[in-house]
Amino acid sequence: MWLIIGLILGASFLGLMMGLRTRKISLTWYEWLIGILGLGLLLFTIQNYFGSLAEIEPKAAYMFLLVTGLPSLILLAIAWQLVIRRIKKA
Amino acid sequence: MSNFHSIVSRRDFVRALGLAGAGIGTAAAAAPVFKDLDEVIASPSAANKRPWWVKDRELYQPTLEVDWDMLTPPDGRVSGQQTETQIHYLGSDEVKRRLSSNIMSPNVKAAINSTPGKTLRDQALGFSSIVPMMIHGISFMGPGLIPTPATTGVPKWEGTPEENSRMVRSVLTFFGAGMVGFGEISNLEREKIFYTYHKQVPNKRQVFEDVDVGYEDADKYVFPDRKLYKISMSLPMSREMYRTSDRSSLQFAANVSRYRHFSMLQPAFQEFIRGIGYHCYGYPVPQAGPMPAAVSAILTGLAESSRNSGYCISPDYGPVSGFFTFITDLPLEPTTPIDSGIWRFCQTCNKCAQTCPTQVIPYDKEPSWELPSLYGKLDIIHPAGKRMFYANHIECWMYCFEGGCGTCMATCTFNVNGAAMVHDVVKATLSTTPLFNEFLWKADKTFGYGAKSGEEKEDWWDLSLPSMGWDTTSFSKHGGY
Repeated sequence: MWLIIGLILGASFLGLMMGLRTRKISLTWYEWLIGILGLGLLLFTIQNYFGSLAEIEPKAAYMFLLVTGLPSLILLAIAWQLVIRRIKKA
Repeated sequence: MSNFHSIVSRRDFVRALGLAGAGIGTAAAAAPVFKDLDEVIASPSAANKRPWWVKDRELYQPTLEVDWDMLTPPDGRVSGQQTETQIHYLGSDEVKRRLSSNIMSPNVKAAINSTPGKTLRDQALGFSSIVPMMIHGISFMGPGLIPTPATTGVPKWEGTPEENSRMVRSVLTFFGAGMVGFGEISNLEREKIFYTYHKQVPNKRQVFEDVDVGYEDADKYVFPDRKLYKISMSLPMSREMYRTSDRSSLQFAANVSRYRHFSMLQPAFQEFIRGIGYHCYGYPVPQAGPMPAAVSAILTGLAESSRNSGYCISPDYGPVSGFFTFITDLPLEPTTPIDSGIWRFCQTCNKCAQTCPTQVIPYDKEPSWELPSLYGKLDIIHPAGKRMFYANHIECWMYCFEGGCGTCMATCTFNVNGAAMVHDVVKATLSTTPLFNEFLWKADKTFGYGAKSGEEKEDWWDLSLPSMGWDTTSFSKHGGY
């Protein structure tokens, strides 16, 4: 699973960098920070979700989706919206 | 012909090659390369390999405070498990009433009603799990069947204490042990840790005599009055089965699995030690050895004390392990007590106390030196001289005898499996940052870890779990396991 996640992450990062370069967008330090935090939390959620299911602890698995998964998506959305709104303003 | 042009000059390429070569060379020089098993044994460290957050402490300085001057030696005749002690507190009529009326009939009723955890097949598994231990007799001195250096004339094995420790760990692991620790039998241990009287009926005395080799006679177990060492080992049990507590024959099957395994392990290990020219003094029965096994496990760094003084908790495997102690004259390198934050954590967490069916585990925030009174009488089931929480093990064991329990170990915050990385994060956090302890154990409850209830208990029958119910690769560091 982690090999596939690694490949997806690598491809996504490459796509992001190429997209930013093509559109000549540069991210501010805090947009990077929020995005990386969100991504880290998302990976933590994925690992613990599948790990908890493997441990036969379904309640823990769903709690991870709620307690760390939701904030991770919110952080990623914030980073995305910050970039979009900054570009629109410019 | 290729149209690609390298952007790396030949000179840079050669330099990079040199750096890479030097790097690989350094790594190869630094990495431990063993040509044969003798070299593995001879490598320097005899200590257990632990995560960074498990800290070593000084010998005889466990995290639970002990006043060694005040400490009284344990008497195997007195404990919450012993009928005489139960009668001392409750009276013989009450003990008889509880035991005679409650053992078989509820089990029969439960089997007829297919009560989860007590169905017919659950009970058959529970009872059958203990049978091999009844068949394989074990003894203090061991079977004495294989040739020894004394009989063959081959010089006996001579290794350094470190080499011997590593060798013993390899042997015990091969025979089925989990983690292994070592210690010297100092005067302190002889006077304060050894049982004065053995726990197993007929409660023989344990003594040291000026003899070369120990022996057993009608009323005593004799250890030679010379330099001796102890070997403490764990036998992990099935966490999933424990989670079917309480009143569960599946939990009982897991609980007695350690005795079943030990009854096969001990004779083999005693023979190995004899086979290299030394002696190993074992258990006369799988349930009772020369000293409280949990104390030995704590002093050799296998585990830490917990809120329920009836068991101890290993940072590697949690509370669902049994511990055993051998005494030998093979020189061994001691391992030290550890601090992984568990004992500190237990002072904040009271999950076991909350879930205990008999409510005998204290809720106190601070451990105490003061022995409590039990049923208005002096507490004689705990030795004085430890700053701990004193659970009422009379009620605890009576309840266990009536139909099985293990709820405290099942619900313990440390009774978790290892697939989700959060457990390592939590253990590292509580070891270094006690500030979060209360949050962490409450989160454990919220996330639903702990004992199963109702029909969930029977899910065990459909699980695909490791052989013997526990992950024997938990402690392995080599071989890609």
